[in-house]
Amino acid sequence: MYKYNCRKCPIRNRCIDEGTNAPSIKEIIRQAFAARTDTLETWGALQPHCLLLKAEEERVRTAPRESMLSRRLRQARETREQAAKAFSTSAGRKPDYLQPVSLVSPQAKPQPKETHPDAGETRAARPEVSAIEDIAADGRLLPRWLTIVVSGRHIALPADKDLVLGRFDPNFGVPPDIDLTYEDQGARTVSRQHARIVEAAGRHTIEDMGSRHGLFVNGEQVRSGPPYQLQLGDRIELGSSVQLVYDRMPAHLMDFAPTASMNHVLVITPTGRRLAITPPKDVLIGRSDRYVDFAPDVDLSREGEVAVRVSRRHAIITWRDSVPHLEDLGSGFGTRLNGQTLFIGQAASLKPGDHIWLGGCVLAYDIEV
Amino acid sequence: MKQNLPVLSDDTVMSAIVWPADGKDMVLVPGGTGLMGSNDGSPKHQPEHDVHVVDFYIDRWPVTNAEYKRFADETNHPVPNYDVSWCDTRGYNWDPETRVYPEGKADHPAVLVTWEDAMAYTAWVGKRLPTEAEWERAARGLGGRRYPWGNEFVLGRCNCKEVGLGATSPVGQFSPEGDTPGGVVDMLGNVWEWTNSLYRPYPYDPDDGRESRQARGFRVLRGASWVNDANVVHCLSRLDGDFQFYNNVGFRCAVSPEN
Repeated sequence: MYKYNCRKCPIRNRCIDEGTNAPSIKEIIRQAFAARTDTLETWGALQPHCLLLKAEEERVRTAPRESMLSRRLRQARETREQAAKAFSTSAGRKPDYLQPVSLVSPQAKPQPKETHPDAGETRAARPEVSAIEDIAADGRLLPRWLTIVVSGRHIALPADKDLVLGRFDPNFGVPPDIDLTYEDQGARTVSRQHARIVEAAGRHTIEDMGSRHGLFVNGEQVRSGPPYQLQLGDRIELGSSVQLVYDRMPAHLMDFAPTASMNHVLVITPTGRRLAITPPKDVLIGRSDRYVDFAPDVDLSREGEVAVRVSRRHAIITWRDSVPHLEDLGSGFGTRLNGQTLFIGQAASLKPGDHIWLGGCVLAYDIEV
Repeated sequence: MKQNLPVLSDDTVMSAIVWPADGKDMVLVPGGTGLMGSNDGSPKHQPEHDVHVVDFYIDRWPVTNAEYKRFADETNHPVPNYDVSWCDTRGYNWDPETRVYPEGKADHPAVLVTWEDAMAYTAWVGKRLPTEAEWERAARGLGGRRYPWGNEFVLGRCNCKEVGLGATSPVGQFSPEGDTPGGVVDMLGNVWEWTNSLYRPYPYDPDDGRESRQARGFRVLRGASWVNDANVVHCLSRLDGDFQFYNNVGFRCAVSPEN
């Protein structure tokens, strides 16, 4: 009948104190709980001012409206959790955290079957791009990058590493390597795991990772399933909000040699905040904490929940010959550069378009001339 | 090899035992409903609320280098040896060839250990990490004292910044004045101790997922260390472990009675 169990409530004493019953009634209530003679009537006296109910109302009032997808995901998650709880609290068994630790590997989850609804369709033939313009003097392919149309942000495409594009959500698995939260703000059609770009011999393919609103290249949808080979100049669209162009990196940035006229910029991609960094000052990136009296040079705690897995001392940018280098400082959730994990003690040089993933919060490094 | 404790009935539960697998003293912390947190001070430990903790045994002192070496030898677990710019590991690194802890530190708490290292140790010895609520109960007792010895800070009862050692100390160096009434040693100062709990806001609820050993998140550290000053060195302090290891972070184990 009552939602919360007053006898087991951890803040019962505060609730009694702050309620509006007369002091003599409060005393009677306290004694009833102490003697475990509290009845539903006793609880009834506390219900009108139940602090937990008030907090819940507040949360419901201020919470954003739920979409169909998030409701389905939440219900699926709740049924899973209930099933797990029902199993673990079977009669006589201690809760897991009171059991001794046993290091057995978790059961492998079965892979969801990939459906290929359009396996029979053929795509319109596209003309082969001449290979000549694509190759540099030394015979290698010219490096490619993506440019986000609305913000002008560049995304460097790494060699031999997949890149996941999507939107950050602290409650969901592994945050994507490239966070498009900021560019997605208007329409909100970018999924958490939207697309994956895979490199093979200098060229790139893109595949849909089961996004809700789809992946399109030059107007045609790339459905879940076989990856799509990208060609120079292709226009990629994630959902209906974010457009990227796949093109060659400009020649003057390929052998990155910084000059005096360059401005080094760090962009906090989920919020669009831009920061200038200048040699030779080291840039310590992390999260401030007054409790232990710590403040990094770049404080990501201002960015809200996207920084929930950023450590206080997460990463540092140091300068060698005016080229910035990135190093992880033993952070809890790790640092990745263009999707590649940086190991402790390993310092990697940054080039324009590089994306720095700090426990899910993604920074972009770029230069402005 | 783990041997099971004899089955104990309620009236024969012993207040102190020796755990067979590692020969370590463990102290019984009586269960019951008592205070956790406090209404003043850092918002991280607010609000004060009641928690119910069941009887459990806790290691009398943190896991020492000598104890960790036995574990590393028997399981071939890597020994800590790091060269990083963000933590001074000189004096704490183990010798990678001989797999021995730094000279003279056999009785110091093992540091440079990750939460995963601590979990591997507990799996080997047949114990577990204490939950955050259990750790605080062991340190504060049912009445919610602020320090293991009472409610006032007393210089010289634990290894903290004011003492000026600038390093870990052998366990028991500040006994018996720094001990809890039950005889638990080095709860405050010396090293922060890993717990089983995820760092989440109060009030504490063991059933909301924060005690999941598989979930991702920062784990709670308790007890402050040789680095911290009196503002932080008290039983309420909780630190989110958003790093892999440090030279002032160790752990101690807990276990529930078999009955």
